[in-house]
Amino acid sequence: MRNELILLELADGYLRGELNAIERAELEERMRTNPEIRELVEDHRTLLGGMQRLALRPAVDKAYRSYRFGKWAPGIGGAVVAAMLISGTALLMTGGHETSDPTNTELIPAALDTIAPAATEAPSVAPAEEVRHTQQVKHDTVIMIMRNGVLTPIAAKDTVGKGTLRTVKTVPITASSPAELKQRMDSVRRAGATEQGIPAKAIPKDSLILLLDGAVSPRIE
Amino acid sequence: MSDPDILLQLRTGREHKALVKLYAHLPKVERMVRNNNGTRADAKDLFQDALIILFGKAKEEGFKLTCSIGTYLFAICRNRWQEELRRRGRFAQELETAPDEPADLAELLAEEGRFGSAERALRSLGDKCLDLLKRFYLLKEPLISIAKSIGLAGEGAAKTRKYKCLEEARKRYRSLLAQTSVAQPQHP
Repeated sequence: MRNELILLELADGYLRGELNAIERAELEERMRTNPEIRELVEDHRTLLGGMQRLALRPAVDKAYRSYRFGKWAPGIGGAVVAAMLISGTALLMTGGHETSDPTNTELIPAALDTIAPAATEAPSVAPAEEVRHTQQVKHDTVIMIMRNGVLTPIAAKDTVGKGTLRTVKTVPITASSPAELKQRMDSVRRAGATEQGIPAKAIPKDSLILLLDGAVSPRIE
Repeated sequence: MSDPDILLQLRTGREHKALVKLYAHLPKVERMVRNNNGTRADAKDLFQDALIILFGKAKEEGFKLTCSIGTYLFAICRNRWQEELRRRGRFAQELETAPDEPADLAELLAEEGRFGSAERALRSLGDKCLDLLKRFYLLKEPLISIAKSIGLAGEGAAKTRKYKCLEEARKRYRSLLAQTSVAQPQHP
């Protein structure tokens, strides 16, 4: 193996222009007289060519994503990462005494009355008569970008060196129960997509929640 | 962006915008492929290969185009798709040639076909080999520092590992060549 290794090192140096004139002339002479050596050098040259192609491919793939994204959101330059912002505000009802933020209770008094306490996390001490409702506000934001035709939540690395991050759409969603929130966010997702000229596919009801959890990435063709 | 501008950007490492721009030629290739027993995915692969060929050529000293970039890319795709159709043994319909298509593509395509096989052979290697080869040939990392970062005893061990990886790549490349109808390299 030793000899083969030395020969390959020689071929490598030859193709990369690292040999001196004497070494080069020597190898060329061996190539002239020995077809196996000639073939070895030729194959190595080809492998180095393949290596170069390997090096260029990521740039070509990256450009493809920008090209696809440019088509997806016309008017937004390919180099710019645009973001779709979906924000949902869940108003989860909790039956209980403690009111951490009393002003909130007054914001939607009408809605509170209609909520069944069953859907709530009841505190250990159940109130007998006078039930005061406390609302917890949950705010979810997910910024998504098109990656290879797939809408995926944005990661920190996506924002590096890609120009400005633009908010395309901000949708606050208010719902009186987690189930309703799910439903509304789903429909907003679809509406948001349609407004931007994407023929949105119907997606399963839970998909946005799963998406928010990072469990799935729905495909929009 | 004019053709010379695009070539300049490809040459000087500011390729992103130029490449994105060049994808404007993809739909035409897509039409050609889909009208001739191919899929969109075939067209994308074909076109990306053509982009890589152009990209690599643009980096070569003294590369000159005898036609527009669009014609060049399409001609590469058309020729390679023709070859693919023959390989698939379909009734080899002659794909329409653009009037200003460069006539001297045969040699380029034969060579690029071999580079493509070599690329596939390299890709098929294990991650360890590919990582070592990339570091050495693309990132120009010295063997001694590669040895350190992948836990090899020293430069000698890294050299031996590199040799074994290249040997394996060559073996796989050779067997890929034997599988496809791509002409074996001619040694004058």
